[in-house]
Amino acid sequence: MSNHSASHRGDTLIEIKNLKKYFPVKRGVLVERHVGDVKAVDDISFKVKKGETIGLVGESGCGKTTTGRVITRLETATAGEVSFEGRDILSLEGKELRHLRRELQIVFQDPYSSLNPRMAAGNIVSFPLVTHNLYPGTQRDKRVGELMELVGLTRDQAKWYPHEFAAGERQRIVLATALASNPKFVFCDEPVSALDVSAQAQVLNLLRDIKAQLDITIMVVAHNLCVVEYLSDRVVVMYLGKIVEMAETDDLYQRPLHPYTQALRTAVPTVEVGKPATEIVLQGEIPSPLNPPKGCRFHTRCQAKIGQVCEGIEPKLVDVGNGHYAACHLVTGPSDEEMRAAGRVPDETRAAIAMAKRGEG
Amino acid sequence: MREMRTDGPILEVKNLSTYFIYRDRTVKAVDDVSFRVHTGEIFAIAGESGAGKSVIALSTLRLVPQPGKIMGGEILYWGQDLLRMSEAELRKIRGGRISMIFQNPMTSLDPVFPIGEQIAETVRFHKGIEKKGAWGRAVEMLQLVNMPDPERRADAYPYELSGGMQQRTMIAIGLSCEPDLIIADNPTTALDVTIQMQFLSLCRQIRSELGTAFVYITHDLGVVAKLCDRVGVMYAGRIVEEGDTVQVLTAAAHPYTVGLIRAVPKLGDRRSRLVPIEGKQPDLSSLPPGCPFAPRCPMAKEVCRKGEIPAKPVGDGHYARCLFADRVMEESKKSYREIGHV
Repeated sequence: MSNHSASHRGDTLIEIKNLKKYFPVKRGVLVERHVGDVKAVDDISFKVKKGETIGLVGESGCGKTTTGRVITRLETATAGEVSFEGRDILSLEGKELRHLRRELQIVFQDPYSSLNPRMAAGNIVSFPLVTHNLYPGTQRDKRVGELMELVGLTRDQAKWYPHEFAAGERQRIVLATALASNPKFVFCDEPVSALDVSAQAQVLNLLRDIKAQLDITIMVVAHNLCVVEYLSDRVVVMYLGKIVEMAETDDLYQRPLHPYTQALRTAVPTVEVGKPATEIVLQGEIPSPLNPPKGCRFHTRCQAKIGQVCEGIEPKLVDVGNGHYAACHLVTGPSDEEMRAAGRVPDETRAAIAMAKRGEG
Repeated sequence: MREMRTDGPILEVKNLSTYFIYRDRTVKAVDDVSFRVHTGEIFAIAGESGAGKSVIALSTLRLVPQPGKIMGGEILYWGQDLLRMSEAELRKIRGGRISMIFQNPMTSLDPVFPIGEQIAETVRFHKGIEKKGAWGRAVEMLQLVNMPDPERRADAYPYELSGGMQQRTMIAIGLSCEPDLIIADNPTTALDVTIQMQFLSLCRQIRSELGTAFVYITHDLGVVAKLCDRVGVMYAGRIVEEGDTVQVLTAAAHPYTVGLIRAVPKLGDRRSRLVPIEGKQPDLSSLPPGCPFAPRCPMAKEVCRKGEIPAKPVGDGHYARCLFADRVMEESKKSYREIGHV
């Protein structure tokens, strides 16, 4: 495949700046009153590098899926910027937007509901080609055949209908459809959570193979940290609409800094047995994104929190070296201005944080 | 509290077969399954969807929906066969001494009654306690399952609670009559991981405080590793391997178990490639003769496709239905020593 753009692997493909997505909550029958906002994504910034697989992980309501949906223009942003190859994409409309959709494709969670049961697999896969008028004439069938083989199916299976495929194979068709228009970016929303273990492994391997074969950038969203780590070069951990930690996958595994990441890691059930039991059982529920806690959003469940510091001052996402970012006062204390703004004496606060850290160790 | 018996198994399932009989075919959902659960033990039934796990759970309490039919076998609860009991006798046991927790708490709870009332109803029916006492018991139960602010929450309707709290309510209902056995059918699939973690530690707490035994049905071997003492791995309606959890996960003796372990990603191990299980699950209405896993098994030989495969003991209380169980186990042990998992 030819690549006309002058950009290289590692360059920024997508840049997300101060992105916010609020869903308004309305009450009333005749006169609708705006009573609040579900802050699904609340002021996040990060970059997606060209050619990487970036993983977004977190529990329900953390905003991981919403982030992906805003980037792929399935949702409109409340505020902030998203640029794709240096071009602002949130304001695109009409023809330009349609053009953009060719570059940004999506794989949804459930391969049962994302395939039209009345269409043969080949027709489903060629749909984007028809829409975008790509590979006209006889080339189209050839392209469909190629795509089927790319995802590990046979050319003949293009004639089959969705019900004739097993769950894992259906997800292959969804992936073939997403890849049909040669996109630069594919957003996979929980690509394996609806699948059984054996089918899950097939799809995970396939995603890795495709990534190695094609010049493509993938963003994968999943609640399972193992799945995200298996696929991604870099991982973004989200909690209640905020990024709490972001790092290269290996770095994050060896050195999880944020207490939430640490808890998430021990909460993922893995088949390994006989490991020392350092389980962290988080107490309480995930707070409502309608009214998230003040200060650090994780403080209500955090076992390492420093009383008023974490309750009063919101931690910023800070680079701690090697592109490893964390938003936690225990990792990087708040600045003097932030402490003063929260009505606290900097020296005393710093002492309190130091004490809490020692207690930790 | 009722006096706990400690002798013998609390539940013994012997040669259970449950078929779904349609006009043109018979689906053998559970085929000749046997296992035992002892007091205070957490026994896992693990396997992929369609393996027959839930049908075992439903068969145990004779709740199999039409056109399913229990074709044979015994289900002994403290030595009494539940399959030969009258409906009236069974009703006393069901929900009272054996209780069940289903997968989706939202559809198991009644949306029009406060949760306290739903717990109290169970207590009134099984224990004959009057209304006020039953309500007190309901609040006590909510407290036991670590529900925050139990007095107030007892008045809440299911929709007002989060998924985790709904599942706690289900456990509270399940525990309200002090059962000695809880059958939990995929109870955490609808929950987030940190909430799942709370649920697992609650199960452990209940087991150690009340001595309750669990039959825990799950598709997640990770949950088995975290919670369960023993595990039966199901494939195509049969238990293909059974044993102590640590044994099974570190020295799997059936190729299907090995396949399941190799197919899940491990934390911090991105280098090794996942090994999916090739092929698809067999049609339970026309199983091939011999081992049902043979068509997908990397080491299947001609002998595997003929005749029944007997359960072969490979260790203390560890069985596998595989002709090459010893060899599979040796390899599992070796790879466990080398890479830390099977």
